[in-house]
Amino acid sequence: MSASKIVYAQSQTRVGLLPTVNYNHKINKDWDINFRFESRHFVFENNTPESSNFKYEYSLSDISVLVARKAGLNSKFVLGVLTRLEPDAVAYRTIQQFIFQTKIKSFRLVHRIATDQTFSSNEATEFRLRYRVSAEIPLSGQKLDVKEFYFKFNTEVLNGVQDNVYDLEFRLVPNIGYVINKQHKIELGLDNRLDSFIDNQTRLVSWITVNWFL
Amino acid sequence: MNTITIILSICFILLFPFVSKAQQKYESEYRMKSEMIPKSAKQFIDLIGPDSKVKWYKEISLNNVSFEAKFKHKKKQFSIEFDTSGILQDVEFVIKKSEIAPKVYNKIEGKLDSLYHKWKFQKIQTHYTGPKGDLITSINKNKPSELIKVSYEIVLKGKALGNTQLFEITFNDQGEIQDIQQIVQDKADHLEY
Repeated sequence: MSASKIVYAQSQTRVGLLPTVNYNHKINKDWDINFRFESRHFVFENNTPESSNFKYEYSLSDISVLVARKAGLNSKFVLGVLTRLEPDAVAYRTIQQFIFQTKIKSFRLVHRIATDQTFSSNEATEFRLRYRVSAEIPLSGQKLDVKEFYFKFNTEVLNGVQDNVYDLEFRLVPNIGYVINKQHKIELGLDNRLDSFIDNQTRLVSWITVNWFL
Repeated sequence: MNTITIILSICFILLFPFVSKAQQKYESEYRMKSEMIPKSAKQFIDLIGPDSKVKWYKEISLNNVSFEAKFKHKKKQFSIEFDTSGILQDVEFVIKKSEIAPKVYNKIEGKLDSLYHKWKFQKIQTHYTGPKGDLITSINKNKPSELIKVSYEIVLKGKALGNTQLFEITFNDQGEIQDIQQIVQDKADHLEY
């Protein structure tokens, strides 16, 4: 599993590996638990047109645990924590989400309204309010089945406040996925993040992502 | 830190191995090219003369494999099922609740009230079974002929004992329940997390 990161800021390009594993377990008819692990490893850096080199550099790892309680037929409340391990720092995040699902003809839409708070020893606490909608379109037939490809498109808007500074971020993430069997799905996508609107230094970060759901 | 990451990755996979979920009803459907469909099935659809393009699907369940044609005709969404040799199985099309005769509808409503504390329709379909010629006449006249057996397949959200589930209930043309099945919803973890 690997992914690449390309940062378009001041002509800087960075490419890295981003393994992501997402394990979901149904505890009973009302509760499920989700474990997620991802880590970022830069392998290429291009600061100026004259300077570029392949260099491995570990960036960080995220480990999260989310517990979900069914709220209705197609909705759930989620609470969780995330630990971010960086080479010289550790940050913690608390997460609250409300997720609900709708359907338009042959594609499913999942809406996620979330808040989170990130705490670390060397930065002010960051508070975020975010809304994401994910659309799934099966590429063969009207519902997603085993050994079938699908298209997934995530759109998210994030509002963040840190140290009394407000920021706005947009994410557009097209993915192509494949259902390997009832338990496993794999996705390849392009995660585009546009942020820093407010301080007028808009930055686009694009990730090539690979997600493994089991 | 590189080593730590590798160790964490291995621990994660070891701690949460592949756990097989409870057995679910196996049902899948795949889009098919019309060239793969038996000639007799395509001929039947041609006799109806759909208003839209016909999409063909192969449906696989534990006990059955069939072909299904989906199209729009006379402002209704039709699904017509054939067996793999092209023999017609049934015709179904989406309707509004107001299209069910009031006497039958009241009976259906009464049955649902007795089954569920709360319920809400998701989809109502009329089923026609009978001789081919009568089926085509009934489809085009939008009224079943005498030889056509009519039933209603209703998908609804039903709440009983504090638990809301999705059900598919089949009623006959008199509003009597023929069959109830709980619909197992597909996993959506890749959309939620």
